[in-house]
Amino acid sequence: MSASMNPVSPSVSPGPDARIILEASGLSKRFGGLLANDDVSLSLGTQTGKVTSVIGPNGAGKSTLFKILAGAMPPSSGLVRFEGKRLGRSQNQVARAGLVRTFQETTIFPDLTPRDHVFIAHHLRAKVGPLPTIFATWGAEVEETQFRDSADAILRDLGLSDYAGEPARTLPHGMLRVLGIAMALAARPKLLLLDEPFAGMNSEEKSWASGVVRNIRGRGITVMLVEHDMRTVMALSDRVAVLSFGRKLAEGRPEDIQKNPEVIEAYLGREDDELGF
Amino acid sequence: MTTSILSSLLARGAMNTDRRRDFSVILLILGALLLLPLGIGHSRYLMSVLMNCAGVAVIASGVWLTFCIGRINICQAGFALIGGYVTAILIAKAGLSFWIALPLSCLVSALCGALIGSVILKLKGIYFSMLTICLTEAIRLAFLNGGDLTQGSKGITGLPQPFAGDSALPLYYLGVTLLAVALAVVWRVHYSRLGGIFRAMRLNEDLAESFGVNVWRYRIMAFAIACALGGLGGSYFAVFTQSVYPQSFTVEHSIYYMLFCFLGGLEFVSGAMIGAFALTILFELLQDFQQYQSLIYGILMIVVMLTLPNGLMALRGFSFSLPFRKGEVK
Repeated sequence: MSASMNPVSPSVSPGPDARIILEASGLSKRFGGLLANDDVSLSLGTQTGKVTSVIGPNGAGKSTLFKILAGAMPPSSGLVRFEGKRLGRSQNQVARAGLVRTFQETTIFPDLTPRDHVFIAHHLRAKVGPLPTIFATWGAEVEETQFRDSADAILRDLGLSDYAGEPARTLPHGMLRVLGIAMALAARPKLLLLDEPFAGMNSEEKSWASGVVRNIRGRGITVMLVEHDMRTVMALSDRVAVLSFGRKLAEGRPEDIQKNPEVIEAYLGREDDELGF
Repeated sequence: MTTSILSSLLARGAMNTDRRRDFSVILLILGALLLLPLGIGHSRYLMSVLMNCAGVAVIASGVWLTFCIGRINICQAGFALIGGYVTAILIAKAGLSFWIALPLSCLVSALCGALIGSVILKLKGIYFSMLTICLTEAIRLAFLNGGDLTQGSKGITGLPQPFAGDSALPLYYLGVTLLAVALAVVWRVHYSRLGGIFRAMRLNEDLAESFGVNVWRYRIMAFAIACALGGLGGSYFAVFTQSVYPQSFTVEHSIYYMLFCFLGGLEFVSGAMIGAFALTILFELLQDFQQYQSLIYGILMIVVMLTLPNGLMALRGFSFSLPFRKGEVK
């Protein structure tokens, strides 16, 4: 591993370390007779502004792992620490800790504009309570104005300014996915979890969305993504973890993962075939 | 700095078409209510019809607010009953003034709503609605069996009017004021950041949770505000009719309040008011058919849901707005 790389280790340190951004230890999730995650451990290390991807064939347990990390689903065993602290049990507690997720489905409010979407997503930054908001106090009004300005800035940064006032239902698929990311950014995440951010995009949209992820990384926000598109994953990621049948098969730099015979076998079933990177 | 914030606030306050239309309808109706006594002030009957309209519109606006969080509330009559009884008990038994009893009724209804809501708001869809029907009946039975405090089926009667003199005007204007307050609260909730959060919760709870919204807490808050509006309306009816009985607000009333919202439109703050006024006045006009009221309400409800999913406010006849310029009104 190069000195400049994020000092991610496949083995998880025994005690909580507040410098470690995210540390999952021995995560297992059982659905009846199906073991979706089996003793998965993962650490994102201490260096912020890196992209870590989780890949694996269909049914490998990526989405389950993602949901556990985001607080959407409790693990059957194991624990998740974020900056050395155990994460809360609900998604909103996880978001308050600084770990914000996007969704695999294009989840939007069809009649609201992207500006409204991002405005609403500023909830975590709100200091004014509901009652002053109802009574339209000066503080509440100023805060709402600040959030709208911030929403415009986020949309501008992500290249959505031209569509900020259009109903979200009229936006193309790629932009809706990026709108999801814009909403997550409004919560000022320390760690951004992206669930298949490039799913359903054409190559042009993928290239644009990859630029958005690089932009986010450039701001020092750590990104973890679950994705199927190998070419994009390999181009974007600093680290890649591979899951297969619920277990972590490998973890390392993208170039090492591409040559890993176990990974090739997991994807193609035969060592002598080319991996579609 | 202040100027820049002010101009920014004004620019942000610029209303879109729907909001302008909503605001215009509210202004026109409230304006008409203020002026109508000049023409019909001599008729006690017509004044009482309008007072009835204002009262039910206050209660129905709470139901409308519950729709905002994706719940169909069929227990609003129960909370109106709580408001009515609290006012009656405080006036008749504790000797308090109506002006103290009114906010306390609101508060007690809100607290009951928060307490009950913290348990039942975890349910969704038909399960929540069915439970709220039972709740209306449970509240009614509680007051029916409340002993000396609630005076059973006899109810509490002979409540004094809050205003001296024979004129119905002060009580009428009280009704209009309460309606304006209820609409202002619902307007602020719906069109502020809070309304955005409620909308997010209704459309996708997971998404709302993902940006830090404690969905359960916000749901309880919305329900408590809705119940407070029920209590406000119930308190007004107690002094308007100078009495309150367990039969004053029943499951049937809860269903009517829901129908008012459907008829007026669920996307507009003025929807509950439009529905309440339209149906109440319609049935006063069709007095000869009052025995068929439930039947006509039922048929109307089906027809509205099938043909006007966004209610009367979505009709072309309501597609107007007062000539507000951008930034004039928030």
